[in-house]
Amino acid sequence: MPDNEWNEMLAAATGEVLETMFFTDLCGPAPAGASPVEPRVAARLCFEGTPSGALTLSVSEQAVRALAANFLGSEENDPLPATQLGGVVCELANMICGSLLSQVKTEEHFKFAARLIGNGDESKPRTGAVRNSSTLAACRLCRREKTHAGRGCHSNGSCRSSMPASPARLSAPTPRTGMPRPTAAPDRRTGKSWSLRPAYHRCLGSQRKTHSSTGSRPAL
Amino acid sequence: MSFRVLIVDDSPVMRTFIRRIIVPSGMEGAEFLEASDGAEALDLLRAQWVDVVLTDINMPSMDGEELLRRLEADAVLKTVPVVVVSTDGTASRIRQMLSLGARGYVKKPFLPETLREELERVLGGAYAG
Repeated sequence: MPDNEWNEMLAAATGEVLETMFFTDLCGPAPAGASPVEPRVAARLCFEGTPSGALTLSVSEQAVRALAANFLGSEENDPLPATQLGGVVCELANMICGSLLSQVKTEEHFKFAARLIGNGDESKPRTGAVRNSSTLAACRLCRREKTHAGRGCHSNGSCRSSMPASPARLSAPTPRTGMPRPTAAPDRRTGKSWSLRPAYHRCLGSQRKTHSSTGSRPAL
Repeated sequence: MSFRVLIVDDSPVMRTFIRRIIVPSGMEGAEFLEASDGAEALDLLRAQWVDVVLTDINMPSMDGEELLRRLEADAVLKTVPVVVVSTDGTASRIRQMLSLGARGYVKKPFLPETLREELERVLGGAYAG
């Protein structure tokens, strides 16, 4: 399957998960070379099947708190422990990956294993990175089309894959009040809104894909 | 009417999410038990009755697949309805889990109403709404 199809599938999967479970909307692609602002929370989910690979998700702490508030029903300013923030990022990665692989026509079952990988340094673009303060999340997919012996990740959590694909999508989380809201809108209580702009770049850094910054929905 | 739900998932945040969406979605009578894997779930099920089990598949120690096998092998526990809640939405996986005895399958991500409807369907007359 060509990379652009993977990109489209990943974009659709990310949008579905954010809208359904995190009551957050999509806004548009990140500027080329952008990566999430620090501090970040990052998780890598290795999947084993056909294909095998890994999905790395790196989200700024600011965005994680907004997402966690939506997901867990807490107030955005509540001091959530780091374990919960990490858990939210792991679960988000888990659902994006599951949603993505559900679109793959295969009779094989996938195995998943998610783990936190610190502040997501491994998600930094390898060359020419341009920090952009509005970039709140980056998502990256590495894959192998064939099943090989071993897992999609090395034991230290680094990617074993040699055939990278770049994911894509743009999103803007919606702050919540009480029960989840299925549509994106600025929080009337706090007036805050967020823009998640995943940066898409190749796993091995040899080639980076860029996307236009015009999305189907404007950044909030 | 009250009913007891056992949530089996190795992710504490996912257990919290499920708990918090069930009650506001109109099922005020729900009581919750939680387990982080299949083995812990079996221990709980042997100690106390629950009306429905919501279980993930990929978990350490004992996964959801093995949990279903163990429940099916137990003359008493096989009567407890199990709904699988998983990110794995491949057709083959859904077929497999249903063939192992799951009464329902909810693929993540899901809307709160989807889970509520599945619970109502599985609980049938045990839950009056």
